[in-house]
Amino acid sequence: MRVSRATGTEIGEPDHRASHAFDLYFGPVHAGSGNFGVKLKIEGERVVGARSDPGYLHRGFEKLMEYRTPMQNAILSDRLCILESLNWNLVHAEAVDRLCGTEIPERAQYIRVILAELSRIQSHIIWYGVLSKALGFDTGFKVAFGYRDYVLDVFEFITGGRVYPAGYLCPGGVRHDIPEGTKKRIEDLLATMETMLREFAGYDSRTITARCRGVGVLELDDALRLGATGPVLRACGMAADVRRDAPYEVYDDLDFEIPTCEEGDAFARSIIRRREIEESMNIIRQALGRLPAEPLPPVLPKIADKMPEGEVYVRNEISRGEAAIYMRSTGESRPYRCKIRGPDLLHMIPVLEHLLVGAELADVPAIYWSLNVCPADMDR
Amino acid sequence: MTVAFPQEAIPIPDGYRGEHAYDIDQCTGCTLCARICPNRAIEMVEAPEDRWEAYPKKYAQIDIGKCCFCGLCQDICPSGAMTLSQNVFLSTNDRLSVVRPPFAEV
Amino acid sequence: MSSAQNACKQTEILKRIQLSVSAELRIAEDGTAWMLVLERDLSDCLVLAKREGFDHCSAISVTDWPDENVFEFTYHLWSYGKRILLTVSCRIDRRKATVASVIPLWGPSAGIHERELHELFGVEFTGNPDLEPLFLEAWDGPAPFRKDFDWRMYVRETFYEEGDAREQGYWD
Repeated sequence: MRVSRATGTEIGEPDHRASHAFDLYFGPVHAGSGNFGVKLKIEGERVVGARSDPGYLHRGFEKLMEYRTPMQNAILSDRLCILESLNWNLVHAEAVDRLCGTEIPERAQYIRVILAELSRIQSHIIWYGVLSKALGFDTGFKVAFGYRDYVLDVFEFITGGRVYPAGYLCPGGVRHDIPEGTKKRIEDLLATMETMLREFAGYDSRTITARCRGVGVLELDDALRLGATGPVLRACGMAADVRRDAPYEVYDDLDFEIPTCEEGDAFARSIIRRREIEESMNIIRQALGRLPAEPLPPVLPKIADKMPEGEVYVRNEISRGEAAIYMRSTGESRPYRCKIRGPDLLHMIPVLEHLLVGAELADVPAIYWSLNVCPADMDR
Repeated sequence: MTVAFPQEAIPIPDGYRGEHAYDIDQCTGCTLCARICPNRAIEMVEAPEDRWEAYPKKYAQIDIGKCCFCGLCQDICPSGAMTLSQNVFLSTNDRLSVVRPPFAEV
Repeated sequence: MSSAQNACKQTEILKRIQLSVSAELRIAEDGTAWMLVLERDLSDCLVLAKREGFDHCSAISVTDWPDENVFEFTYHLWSYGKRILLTVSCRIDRRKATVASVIPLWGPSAGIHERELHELFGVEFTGNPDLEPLFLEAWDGPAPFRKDFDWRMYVRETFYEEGDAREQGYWD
């Protein structure tokens, strides 16, 4: 038996000293991983343990909403997840509308759907950009955020703000009708989006494919047990989409497909999101064609907007998965309890910890960003 | 989409929610804007003594550091005194200058 | 099947659960089902719901009613196959708020909600192996989402200064 002079252990035996395994913080630097950290236990190049560290963006939304009236809460609901602010506006607006039993004019419903789908497209573009950045594919990052700017210009034209629409989709409909010329601007935007999708498809033969194929495979039964929803679940083969299963607004009048994949890996999730951009464009075109002509009066805020007593649980399909709000009112103008369910609480803690264990360190960014995490709606 | 600012600028659309344009002569002092503001950025203050006769009520003092530029004050104002302009150039190094009193120093 | 037949099947399932645990069932206008059960029937009701096809635990929430001394637990369950949303609600004594964890039924997807509620409301879930703090760091005060914790006073005293010109208004 030979003994190493340096360490005193037998050569040929594995060295079980603890220094081979160490803790690595992935995050919480905003540029690297969003406002969220994962503590990885690494042995060599392999991740043997993962523990999520949430809470950097905890603002106590559920409590904040208890102090504000519905219109003020609509302004606040942008900030639930700024990457898809109009989608969260819609969840909140629907919760209050269903609680109060308000009838929304059909034109407002179509406008809501158009803006929610534009927000979904914009959110998926951000996802493509940050995934590319994390994989080192800087061109994809710059191109994606460049194209996102065109969508933001349309938001600025319609809602008055590029990123914060200030509760444009509010309880009662929309804050004000879409300005003259919106239809033409959206049609031009959709043409630009087609160019963008062709460009993204052209990048497929390179970095994204090489680093995402076969990485972070999620089995269907694990996905259900861990609570995955949205594109993460659809990539495992299950066609579950709240817009199809429990339609809201005018989704049951519109014709669209739910893309699914079988593999469940990071590349499958990537393909699904790009196909979802196409389906969103399809939905927007249909909605623009069917938009009723009658103009809408603006929805004005009121100081004491009492909500009737009751409770409601509203689910929506936002770009990251299933979002829901449970709102309970006791007849006051402020909700008594407003529980917000974001898809990312499930994606960033149970699903992420499960996928990271056993992965190579170099695959961690691909797995992390393929889940399209948003620390904001996890922490609230 | 990228221009050589400040020689060129991208035009800002009409509906953009920028700095407040508060027309004090239209203001009736109803305080609706102060009560609707989600961030309590508007405070109703009295006029300076020498202007009490012309301006007997309380008028809106806006703290744009707290303001989130949502436009609820514009929507609720019954007289059209409170509107949002397209001015976005609001950066400053002076922390207290973000409070905009209704009566500018003469 | 047609939507009328589907609605019939949905009501059948809900009625089966309701009769088994003698719950109060209400179906709202938008088609969502709301079931109120007693504390002693909560576990049976949830086990039965899982068996009847409610395979997705969408959210678990707690509402604090300090005047009545109860915490109202709501379990929002969705059935992918039958497309029904069922909310099971149960009122538990606020002074000793302990329920059995539903991890054996819905796995970590329910466990994470329980972990959050444990931290924010101070409720116990027996059988949940991981109730470590989730969002708050080094917090040793009372459970912050309870109604008897004066949030605004805490924030005012910890972070704001009365002498500051811009923060004066918070002391009114």
